[in-house]
Amino acid sequence: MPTAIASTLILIAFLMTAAFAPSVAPMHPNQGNIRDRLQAPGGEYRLGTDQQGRDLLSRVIFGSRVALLVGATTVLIGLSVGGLLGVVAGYFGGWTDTIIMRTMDLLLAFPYILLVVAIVSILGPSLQNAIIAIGITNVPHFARIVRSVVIGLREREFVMAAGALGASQLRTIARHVMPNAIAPVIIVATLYFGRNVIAEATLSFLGLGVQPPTAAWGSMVAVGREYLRSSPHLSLAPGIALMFFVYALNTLGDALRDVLDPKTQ
Amino acid sequence: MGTYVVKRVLQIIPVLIGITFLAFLVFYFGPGDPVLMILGEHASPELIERERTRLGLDQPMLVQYARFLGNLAQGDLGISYRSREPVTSVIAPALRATVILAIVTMLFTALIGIPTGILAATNRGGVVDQVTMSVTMVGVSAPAFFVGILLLLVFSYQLRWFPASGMRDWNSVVLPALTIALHFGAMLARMTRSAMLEVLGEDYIRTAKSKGLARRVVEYKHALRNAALPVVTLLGLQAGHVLGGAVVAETIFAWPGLGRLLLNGIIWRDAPLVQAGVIIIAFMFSVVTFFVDIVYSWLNPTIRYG
Repeated sequence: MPTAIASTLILIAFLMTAAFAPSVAPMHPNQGNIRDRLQAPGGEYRLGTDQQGRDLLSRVIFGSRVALLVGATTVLIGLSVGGLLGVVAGYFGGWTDTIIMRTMDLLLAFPYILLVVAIVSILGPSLQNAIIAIGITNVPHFARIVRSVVIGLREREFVMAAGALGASQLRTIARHVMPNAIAPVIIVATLYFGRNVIAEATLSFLGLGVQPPTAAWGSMVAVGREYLRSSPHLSLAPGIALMFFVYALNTLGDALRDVLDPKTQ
Repeated sequence: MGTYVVKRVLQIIPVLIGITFLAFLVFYFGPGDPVLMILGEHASPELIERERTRLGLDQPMLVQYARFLGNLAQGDLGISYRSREPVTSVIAPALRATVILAIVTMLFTALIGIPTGILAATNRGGVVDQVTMSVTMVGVSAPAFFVGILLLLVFSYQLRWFPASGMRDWNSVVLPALTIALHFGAMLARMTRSAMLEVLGEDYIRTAKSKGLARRVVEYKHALRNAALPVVTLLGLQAGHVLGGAVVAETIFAWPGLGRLLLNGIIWRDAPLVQAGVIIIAFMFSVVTFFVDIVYSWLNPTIRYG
């Protein structure tokens, strides 16, 4: 439990930093003084400066905005589209189920990162397209989890009773089926939040995500790669921030699973 | 068992058709006009028209797809725009490099993950367990590209133990393989631990213990065997992922594999190359998943009747 509380506090800290980035960051993230380029950490710039003399700490702070934005929007896409497909497939069964789930299997037949890269290559590299691509890869996972919950509930007495009492299908789904899907969906959402943040960082690292000069952790690590021998802090600072953030998310997701899913205890 | 295998093989067919169709769509709707890519920007309109007819690009979409499937069946994946060579001869060496990387990676993964998981499970709640759980959580959370950068910095630039890039010596494979294996190994360790714990709580383990069998015998002979199911499944899925998606590790260490080739193909807008790569990777992934399912049903007979 203490680890869960600690990770929640860390995540709140990240959230606040992202929300108030302009007041928290000591300098402007995209404007630097070229004469102060590649300064080591400590001194005037606490985490040093990058190759354009921009304050690294401020860029890491502004990078948290991209991470949180991507995590939230991608999970929202996966959850709304996948959840809807999962409910429809699970509740109606038959051909509807077969067609939806075989399409989901097809999406799952590609390695995750490759699918993202392929979608971005068609749409073009940008933050918005990275979000769309990552969101699409989440759809089958949410569809599967929601479908399995719905199938488990479909034959249960209280759901049948709702139907027998004259509740419409829509009402039965919304009032009696969906609330039971909340716990497993929260667990999956927490874990995919972290995975999606990594996916965006990876895309940006490969040059297919957030474009300069916007500060994003993945692209900052990529730029730092060229200065790795002389100024490793360029890659280390954003990389550690990213790792810390995802670590807190995964720890929280694990703790939630232990609480919400008694079987694994 | 036989009917299950047949059923499972038949399930692959629609997936393969879907994959080839998706790959075809990448080519059909993807950026760049193939005729201009072949002839160059300044070709005359008549020449462009003739080339278009020759390639069958003036035909309806489904006809083009049928033609594409026909070529595919004969092992013809088209000509790469960039190198002007048959795509198959561009992809073959990359496929070889990726398979080497995948074998070494999965070896590392199993060596890291399984013993760590067993160690944690048999010391449940103890210091060893808590430390391994925290460390593996770091491994699960660390993005592959950052792990790669750290390995490059420490073991190549600082210690000079391993080369930073390429595929020249035997030890070039170590760092790219480790980049993936640290992440996969951490996942596998957690999976092994929870699988072991689940089995160790079963009645037959209590029986084995209560009839006086040595702890080691119970843990390794009775428990480990039954915990193997999810562990084998995860190993198989991970193997599928390295075979197809090692883009990051291959890019950082300039390993001339399939993932890097495909990424470059995307950047160069080399549609035939991307198309062929997507098909090969998805095909390998399906085959690996198929074998995982077969092993799974062999270890757990109840699946076959599901």
